[in-house]
Amino acid sequence: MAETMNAPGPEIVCENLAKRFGHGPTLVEAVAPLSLRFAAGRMTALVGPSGCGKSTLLRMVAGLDSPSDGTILLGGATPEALQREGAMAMAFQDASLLPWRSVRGNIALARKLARLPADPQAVARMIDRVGLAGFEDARPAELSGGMRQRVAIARCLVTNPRVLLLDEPFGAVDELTRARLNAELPPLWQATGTTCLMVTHSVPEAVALADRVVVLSSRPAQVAGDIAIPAEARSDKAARLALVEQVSAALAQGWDEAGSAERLAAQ
Amino acid sequence: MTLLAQPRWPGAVGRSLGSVALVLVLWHLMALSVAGSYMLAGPVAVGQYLAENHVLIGRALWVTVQNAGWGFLAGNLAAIVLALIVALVPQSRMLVSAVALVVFCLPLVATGPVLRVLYGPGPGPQITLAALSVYFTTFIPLLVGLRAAPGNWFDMIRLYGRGTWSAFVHVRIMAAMPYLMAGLQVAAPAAFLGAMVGEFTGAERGLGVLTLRAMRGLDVEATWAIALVAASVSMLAYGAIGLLADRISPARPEILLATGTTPPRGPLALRALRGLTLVLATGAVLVGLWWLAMEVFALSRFFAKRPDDIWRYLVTAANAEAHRATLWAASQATLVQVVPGYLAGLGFGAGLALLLALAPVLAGAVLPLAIALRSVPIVATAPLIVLALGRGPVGTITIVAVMTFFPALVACIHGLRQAPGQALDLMRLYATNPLARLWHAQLPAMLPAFFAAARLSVPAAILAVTVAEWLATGRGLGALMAMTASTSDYNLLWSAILVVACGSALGYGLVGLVERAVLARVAPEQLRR
Amino acid sequence: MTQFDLSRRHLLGMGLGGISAMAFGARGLHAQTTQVALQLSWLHSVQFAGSYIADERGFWADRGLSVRLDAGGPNAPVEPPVVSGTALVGISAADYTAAAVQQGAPFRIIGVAMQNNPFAIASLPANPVNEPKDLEGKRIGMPLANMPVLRTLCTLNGVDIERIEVIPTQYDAAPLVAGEVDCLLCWSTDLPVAMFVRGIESVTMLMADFGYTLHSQTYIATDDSLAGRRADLVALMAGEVQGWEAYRADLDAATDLTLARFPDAGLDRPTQIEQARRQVPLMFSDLTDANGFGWWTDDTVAQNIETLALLGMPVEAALWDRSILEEVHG
Repeated sequence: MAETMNAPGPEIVCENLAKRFGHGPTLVEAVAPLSLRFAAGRMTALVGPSGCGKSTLLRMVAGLDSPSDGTILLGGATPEALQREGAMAMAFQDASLLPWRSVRGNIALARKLARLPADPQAVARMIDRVGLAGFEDARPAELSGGMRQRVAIARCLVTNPRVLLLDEPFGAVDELTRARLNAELPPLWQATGTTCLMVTHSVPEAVALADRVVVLSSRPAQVAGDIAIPAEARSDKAARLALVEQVSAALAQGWDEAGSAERLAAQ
Repeated sequence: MTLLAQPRWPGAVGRSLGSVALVLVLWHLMALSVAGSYMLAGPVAVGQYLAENHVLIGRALWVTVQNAGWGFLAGNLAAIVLALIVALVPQSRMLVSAVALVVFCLPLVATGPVLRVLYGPGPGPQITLAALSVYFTTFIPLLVGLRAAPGNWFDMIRLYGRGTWSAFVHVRIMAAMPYLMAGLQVAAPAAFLGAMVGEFTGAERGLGVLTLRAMRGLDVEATWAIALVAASVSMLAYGAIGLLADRISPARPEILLATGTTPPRGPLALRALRGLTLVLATGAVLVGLWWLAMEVFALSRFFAKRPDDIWRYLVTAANAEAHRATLWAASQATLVQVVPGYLAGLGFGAGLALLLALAPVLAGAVLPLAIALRSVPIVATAPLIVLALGRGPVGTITIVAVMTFFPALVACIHGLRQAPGQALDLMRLYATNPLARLWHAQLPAMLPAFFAAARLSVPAAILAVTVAEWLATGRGLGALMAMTASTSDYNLLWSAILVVACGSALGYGLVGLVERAVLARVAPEQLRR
Repeated sequence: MTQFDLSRRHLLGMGLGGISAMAFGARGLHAQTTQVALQLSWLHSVQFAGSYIADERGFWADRGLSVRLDAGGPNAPVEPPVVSGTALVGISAADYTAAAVQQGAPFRIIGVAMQNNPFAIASLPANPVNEPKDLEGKRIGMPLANMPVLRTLCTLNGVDIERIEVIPTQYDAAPLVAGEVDCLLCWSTDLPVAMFVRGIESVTMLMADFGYTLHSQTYIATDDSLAGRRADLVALMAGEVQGWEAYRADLDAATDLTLARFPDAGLDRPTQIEQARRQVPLMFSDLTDANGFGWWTDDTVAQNIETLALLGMPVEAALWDRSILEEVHG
């Protein structure tokens, strides 16, 4: 990893964060007041049932949605400040590549948008690193789903971001590809000191990739579990399975509690 | 986005050749059936004429093509500039669209003489009229295209702390390309017809001049030879732009076609008040522009009436009531023909598109026919339609329908392609019959495009009906306006223009309301952005 | 009514002209000659051959004038360019001019090219219209703008207009040939000529022979021009007179000149020579033989005023201003 290192990733601090959509009878409380901290330079996975607000949380951290209440600070700075520094990167569920740009063009665009000097060699290295050498000039339409996601990851990493946000980046690829990406990609960011936040549906994925898994309950999201993943669990299959069990249990409980709360409300 | 592009060899070529043969046979039979009427010349006579007069026609064609080309360039450039203004200053949207719409609706009888006085002799009016007949049909799709990109793309731009301008440069412009191309494609035949009709303002050469001469001279071979040349050129331009579009923007983002302003919030009364204020403000600006344009160019009040002249004529003058009654009667006569013609044109276009969806084999045969029908100058086809259907309402309604069906057809074909492939596959899986598939998946997918065409067709229909009234029925606003040439009653002309412009804007707004109501049910995603 | 700031308009006009000159190549200007324009009432054809002769043979150049001949067309009314000053003189018709004057245009008729009105009723020999009475019970095709003309003809000849079925058509002979109508209201010099050239025999009833006395192809100019640009007007009209005399002397040469001058206009010799022949009796009469081309008398003006009154356009004799012609022929 001879990449030039940015300043290490910041700690992400969310205080009493809430997000509401709509108003009056159509009001939806996507995120109830929620306080969370994500350690600097670590990878945290957010898991939770569909529609629990985890993507909204991620978008607020990214500065794409503003919270209805509460604050988000990344190393003391607002998300907007980090945006302006070009220190943020995000991968979306669909790769969201620009169809008229080649693989190279899509990746190079990120550097340009982040106001970094054009660096064809860095782009080429990144393409190589995500295993797409030979596809530099291909258009997104000519790539498979897994390849497109790898381009999206490369686009994120080519700017050496201090904060990397992943919104179910492998949600749309098949299980085999997903497993391969899970194995290939983490080393790309683990050594850089980037603070990573990943939203995922897959408990095994969360356990395999993250240092910590935060389990959210049904909407409005509350923390239903907060499980640290020790580094040694990565090489210990039994420990890993136990952690998957633990996370799944927390997930089921969060789901259940929300369910019974709903049932209570209905009575 | 293209209809004629990407022929699949050899099947498509075979079908195209087949359709050309079909056109020739139909044409020959029609010519035989009206032989001796001096209304339609058959393919043989036309071929003979072209062989004998190819030098003359070639020179005239070159003149008209040049004017159409400059007009095409200027008009589309104007459309791009207007769309960019709206995209960068979204608050200007209503005003710019309204001005664009009203200017587009100005009838030729009014703009022609004014332009001739402004430019003097030369190709100025022809070029300007060609430009005027294309800019609106490029402007509207482009406006949509500049918004037609997935939200994630804009999120990505924002994530790097970049603003409107970067989103514009890196996303919007490229995302708008297919829309621009679709607009340019429709613009090509329109520019050509615009240039031809522009020659009616006192040009010395060109295909339009030759058409006039031929029609007065009972030279039916020449009339139809020119019509054939005009149609061929239009079809070629249409196809060429289609090919170009495929090269420039092979990647096609999702198609959005609805008006797409954020739905107004708040209580109904407040919304109505805000809407009314906006309409009044726009009206005031338009009246101001009208007055300003005439003052800046110091146009004589004899033929370039100002708003206050029309106010006097219609409101304060002694016989203002009689003037209003004349206009009202003419408007009614026009309305009863334009509404059925407009609806028939839209229905026919959409119906044909649906038919092609059920039987795609027909596309190769039907599309060239449709483009040809659209490209033949109405001055040539109108007498034939009148001969076949009479000078009653049926004839006029048919002329209006012929002028409006083509945009609806093109848009609906595009719309039908937007039907989600997976939903269609699912239906195939259950062996759903094609009609049910059409009803449940393809029709809803088609509606946004259909309404986009329906809006654009409002001014087209009104222009068509005024032309038909001028050339065939002698009733309504079209006849009233044409009469000014002999009576110099420019107060009446500008009053009629006012009615036409307001009517077009009103119709456009009305269709927009219907669109909103229908799409809110079947395609709410079109209204989001 | 027609007050405008000349300098500003000219400035803008020059701006636009400059653009078109850059784009399309401008003709050189001769410093010693005055440049004026004559706005024709229709597309170029032998209808204006006298003007072409005046231009080609230098009848204007001899008088220090360079005349640009601006073509007309179906959407190019003559009056606006004359009011605006784009054209010094326009070729109009007495009824058009009277209507424009009613609407506030400051026009005078300064010359009359067609002493006899060219309007006619054309029909086919099998079902002919030889006199106005024959119109009753027939279907007539015409642009509705010409309704006042038909009404006046009927009034002059005691024909019941209610018994004529008016069918709005384009200005085109095809509806007659196709049997859609029984007769057409048209000029004797265009649609009947088209039928003649195509070998279709037709009957032409000239309305001037039945009381429809109305000057046509009249030269009009504004009061301002009459006051301030008399020399130019005299020069222009003198050239016209000389040109049309030359036309009358040699119709073939006039036709050939027209064909040569406008190779792109789609003109054919048979049509042009026939039109040239047919317009001679409309333009030249005992009156012009005695007084010169373009002339009129108080008598003919009085008859015109009567016809115009029937058309619903009351005018005064002062609409006709013979002072320019008097200088030309004097």
